[in-house]
Amino acid sequence: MDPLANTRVPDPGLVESQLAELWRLASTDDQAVIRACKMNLVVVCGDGDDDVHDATRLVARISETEPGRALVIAPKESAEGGLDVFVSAHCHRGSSGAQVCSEQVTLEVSNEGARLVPETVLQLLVEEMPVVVWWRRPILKGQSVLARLRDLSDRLIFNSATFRDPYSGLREVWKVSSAGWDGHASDLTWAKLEPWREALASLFDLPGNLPSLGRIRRVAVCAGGTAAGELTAAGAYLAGWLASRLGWSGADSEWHLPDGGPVTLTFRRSLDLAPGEIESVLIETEHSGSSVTFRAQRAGDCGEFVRLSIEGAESGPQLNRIKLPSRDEAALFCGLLQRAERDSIYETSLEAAAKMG
Amino acid sequence: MHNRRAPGSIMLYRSPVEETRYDVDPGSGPISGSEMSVETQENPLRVGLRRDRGAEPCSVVIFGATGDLTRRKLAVALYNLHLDRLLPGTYSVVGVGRREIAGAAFVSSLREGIEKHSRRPLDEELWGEMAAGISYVSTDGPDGYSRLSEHLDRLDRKRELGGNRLFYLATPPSAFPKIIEQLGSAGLNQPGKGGGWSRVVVEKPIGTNLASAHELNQIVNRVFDEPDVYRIDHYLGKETVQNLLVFRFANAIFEPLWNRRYVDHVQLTVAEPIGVEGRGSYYEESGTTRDMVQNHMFQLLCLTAMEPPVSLDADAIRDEKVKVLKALRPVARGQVDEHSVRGQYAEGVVGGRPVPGYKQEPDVSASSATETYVALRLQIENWRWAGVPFYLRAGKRLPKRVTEIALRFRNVPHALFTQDSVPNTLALRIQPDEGITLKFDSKLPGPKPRIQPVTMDFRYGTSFGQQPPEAYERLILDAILGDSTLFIRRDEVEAAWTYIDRLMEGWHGSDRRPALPEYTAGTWGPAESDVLLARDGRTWRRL
Repeated sequence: MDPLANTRVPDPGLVESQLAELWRLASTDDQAVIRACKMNLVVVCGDGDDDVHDATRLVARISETEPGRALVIAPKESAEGGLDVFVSAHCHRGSSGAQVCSEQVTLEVSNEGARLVPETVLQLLVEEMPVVVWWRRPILKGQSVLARLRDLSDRLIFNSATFRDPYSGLREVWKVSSAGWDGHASDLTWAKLEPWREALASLFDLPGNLPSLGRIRRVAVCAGGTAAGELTAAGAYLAGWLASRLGWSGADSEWHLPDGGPVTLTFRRSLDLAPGEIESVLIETEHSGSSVTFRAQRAGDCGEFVRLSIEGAESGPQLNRIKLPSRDEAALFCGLLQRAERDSIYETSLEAAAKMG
Repeated sequence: MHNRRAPGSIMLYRSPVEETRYDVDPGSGPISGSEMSVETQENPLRVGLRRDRGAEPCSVVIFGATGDLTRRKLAVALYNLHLDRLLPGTYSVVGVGRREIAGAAFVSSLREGIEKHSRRPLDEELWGEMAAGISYVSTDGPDGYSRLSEHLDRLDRKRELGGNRLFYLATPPSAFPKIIEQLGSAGLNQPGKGGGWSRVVVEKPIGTNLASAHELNQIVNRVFDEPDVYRIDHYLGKETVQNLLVFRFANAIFEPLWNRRYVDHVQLTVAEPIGVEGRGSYYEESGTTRDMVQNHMFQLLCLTAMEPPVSLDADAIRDEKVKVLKALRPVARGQVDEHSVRGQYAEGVVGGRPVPGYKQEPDVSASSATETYVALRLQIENWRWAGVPFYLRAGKRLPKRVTEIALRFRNVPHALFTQDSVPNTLALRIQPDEGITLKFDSKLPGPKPRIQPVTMDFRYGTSFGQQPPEAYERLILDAILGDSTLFIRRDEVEAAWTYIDRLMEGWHGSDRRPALPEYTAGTWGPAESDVLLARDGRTWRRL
């Protein structure tokens, strides 16, 4: 017997009318409610109630700056008939003082009901609004639900810092995001790296330092991660970014500059840092027998600064400090959404990072 | 937490109203697709970051360092740029004035300004970093500017600033010529010893009429080349003003309607409920026309009426803006009353409080003939706008603060419905409650075809929840980056003054005293302003 024979697919019309009732109840005689919608956000949660609660909390925060309809897919073995549906709203005070609300549709899905998720989501989307899928689960080969959700979305968002195996995880991300799809992928771990990329770029802004980019001999990245090995997603991304920006070629642990000179990549996993956080980046360059070291090191009592230093340069030692923005997951997510256009730098960095080993 | 009920039933969940401010990354400019190589002296690591170019190390030299503008706007802008990591790793802020004051006192005054006016609270650690680069120089005496030059050279060496200098004139306009000339005499208009660039930022007003504006521009251009001159109109730094170009030229549906065939008239309103706020002596010399119309309103007019630029280069945009100003039909001296109304506020009630009339304000003459309200009827003589009046009104002590551009469209050619329909209106609200509204007719539910106007709204505050940067942050950063798109070019200034001068001649040049009707503070201006539109069968929007 088909395990889905008794599975009820929620009636989209009923869900819409429940949402309409929700708005009607939310407004009062003296207080209108503004329903704001810029996107459809499909959140595919990890296993366990904790991740669902976390996702709902994040959706509430995100909706304050990126309002929309959230479809939260919550794995639940006990889901009645395979798929249970609940509607709710997230409201906050807008800048004009009015109550601004976004809606959430929660789908509790059993293992059997998972196959119906893409079609169910399709029927519940707000028309003509972008579709963003936030995949909070591990990325494994052959995940058909992911592939089908990808096909109906404009954007896929992951967090590779949570991958148990960044090496194969990034490869899967690359495959999923690059094959026959008009949308594009983004990674919260990549977004978190932006202040570090800006800091590293600033080391080479001075004309005297710029030529050193063509003389790199060694890059060492220490970052927090969940994997057993030393390679972390954040480390792979930073190295992949340098490789793609500077025209390196190679794979696994063998990389070369455009002139054929070797570049050694070293990764280390920090046990003291949260996944995706960078501890330090060291870039050693060599030219005519002398070496210059560019370093970005986390500093401060709470690790809230990046200390930049250059040693061995003709101009003498240089030191600078930049404060890292404190952005939680919701703020990072909103920052990603605000960059609606495809991030070609991310894509080339991902391609290179997926080759790191 | 959710309240769980049976599937298919309704749950209602409200998150607690939060007032927490989130440190959301504000920057996300367009990503450059251009490849940059080490050989071409561009940093390839910068591509795809918030700024394609890093702001170069530089000295920001502020004249008028102890003034209100520096404390309230410039220091605050620099601090927020520092907070957002948009300033270079090393930079310095040099306050310049004639008075001899201690550097620490200057640093303190900037800190006070930031604590009071910044949109984000002061971070002690970051303030410490910024304060380490702040200094003050007095230019009093014959060798004042030489001292300044030596001070800047020392900073260049100590902080590796590359000889880059941004001179910001935050002083009264009367001081501009002397400062500019002295900068030239001291060689500060030239690159520093390490090379670099030298730019000057000038605040409005640029002159008080065409002759003085032209003279000032001559003085400035004798010392600084035009590409190194940045004339500020802070309205251009506002997100909503920048959105005008995006709205018009990134959406295909509006441009075909944006012309004389569909637009009946355009109304631009800049209204303030405040009075002269203790600046009576300044206002006596300027009036609303010089203070608001010649600069802010004309910039809004240009952005509304201009042709699409061929690119987003600074000069491509500014070329189109100048064309609008040059296409304005000059007002004949004898017809000035048909095309303009001046007014002056009398005592009244604003915001629930009684307020004095303009003539009762401190430092204002009891027989003052200065206008605090202006309404204009402009005609742009080109193919796009011929025959479409542009009505501008600006004033103080009006009922509320609002800056808005409204396009009122022509009525339907044939009325199918018996009751009068309200013409469609597209309103772009610059401040407050920034957004765009489209007003159109809809049928009321029921058996009869009853029509009611409804609005479709986009509000920045609900769609983009984060706080945008302040105008000065954007403008100062652009000046450091060398992007002059949001600054006014010399010919724009002079074209605007050409029109205003003729208007002024019409008001003051004849042998009769120009009309200056009073209006009660808290109302929308003198009755004559309504007549200006009524003559054309039109009315001002009720805001």
